Amino acid sequence: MEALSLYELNRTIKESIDELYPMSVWVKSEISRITENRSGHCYLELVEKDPNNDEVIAKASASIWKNTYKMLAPYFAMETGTALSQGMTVLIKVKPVFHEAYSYSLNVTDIDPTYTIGDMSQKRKIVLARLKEESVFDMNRELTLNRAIRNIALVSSKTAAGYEDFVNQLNNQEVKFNYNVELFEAVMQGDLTENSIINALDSIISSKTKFDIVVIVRGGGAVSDLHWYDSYRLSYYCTQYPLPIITGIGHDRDISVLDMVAYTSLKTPTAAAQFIVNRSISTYNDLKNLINEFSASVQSYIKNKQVELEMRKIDLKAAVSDLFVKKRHNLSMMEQFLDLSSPSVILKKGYSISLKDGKVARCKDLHKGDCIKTILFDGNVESIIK
Amino acid sequence: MEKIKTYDEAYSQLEILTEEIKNGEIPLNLLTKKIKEAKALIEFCQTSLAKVDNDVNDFLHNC
Repeated sequence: MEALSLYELNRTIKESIDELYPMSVWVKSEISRITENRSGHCYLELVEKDPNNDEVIAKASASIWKNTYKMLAPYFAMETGTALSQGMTVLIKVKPVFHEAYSYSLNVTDIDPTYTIGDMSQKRKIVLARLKEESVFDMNRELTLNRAIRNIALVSSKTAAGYEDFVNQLNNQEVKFNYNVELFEAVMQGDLTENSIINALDSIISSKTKFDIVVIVRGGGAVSDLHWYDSYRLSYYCTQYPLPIITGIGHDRDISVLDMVAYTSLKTPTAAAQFIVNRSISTYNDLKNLINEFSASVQSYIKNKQVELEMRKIDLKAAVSDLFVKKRHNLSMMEQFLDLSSPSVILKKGYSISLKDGKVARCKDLHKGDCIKTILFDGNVESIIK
Repeated sequence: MEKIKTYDEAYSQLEILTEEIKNGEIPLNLLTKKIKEAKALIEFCQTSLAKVDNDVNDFLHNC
């Protein structure tokens, strides 16, 4: 029996493939793994899953050679706003190759970013629709943010510029508020983002510190790799979170689902810090106004009482002095009356009083020969009745 | 005279007293006593006001 050598077999397969696919073809696929090696080549593992049960029904290795990758990677990132990454669905132009020694693989020559954009926006729409359908979309926004913010839990990567920007902006203010910022480190891009942020949020809740607010920030890199923040799991988690979350994920192209469910979303870490400072300033001013209003009302209250008491004193003095005037007047009236009725005043007018045996004489008691004493103004006379 | 408890109590006693004097309801022999009472009430009111005023100023300067 004649047998082929392995090389001969592989060469026939290679020839058949070359014959079958002399040119590149467009293929839809999901990236299940992606690595870039030191020499600048990019290696991918592509899969297709059964939409019903997620089982892998096709799989192939692919490579983007350095020169092509140098062109395709920035182009793709610029168009989609995100780097080629695991879990992403792509439309790529590939040339199937079969190498006798290295077996089957796909050589990527081109990529169509619009397909990925469409796919991502489709996925995003589904996530949004699901969050709304579950009535959780607004839940974080329905929380009450403390008026005086003091304890801030910051979710970021320590090495990222975003962390520094945020802290600098908090401190670089005319009026300084005393904030306590604790960093909960998380990976802010790549496929670890989702789990890493959720873990950080978990640690915040179990921390001893009672935080007023959670701030998720990330410095804007060259590529705003946003689609990690469109994750259903992460966004759902944030809607159920007990503290208000504000985001400053550093992008200006589009707004992520996480931004949409957050209590407040801001474009940059600096803006997120300013949001907190502004809230503190407004709380401080409100308090100052309230104190002023309170002071004014207290002062006018006291003033009124003082005036009222002064008036009362004047009133009392007047009443007392009136009383004296009245009493004195009555007294002098009495005096006048008494003066007028005194006998010396009457005698002076020419009247006289006659006494018999020391009593005022009456005609009916007098008889011939009786002796009476008459008092006149200037002396007394005695007389005998004839 | 009963022990005065509050500013408002003192103030209203003062008001009643003034009315009584105005209406001549107070016999002269009691007037001295009543005036002493009035003086005590006024002093109480003034001290209370001054104290509150102090407290308020203290508060206003410290916040």
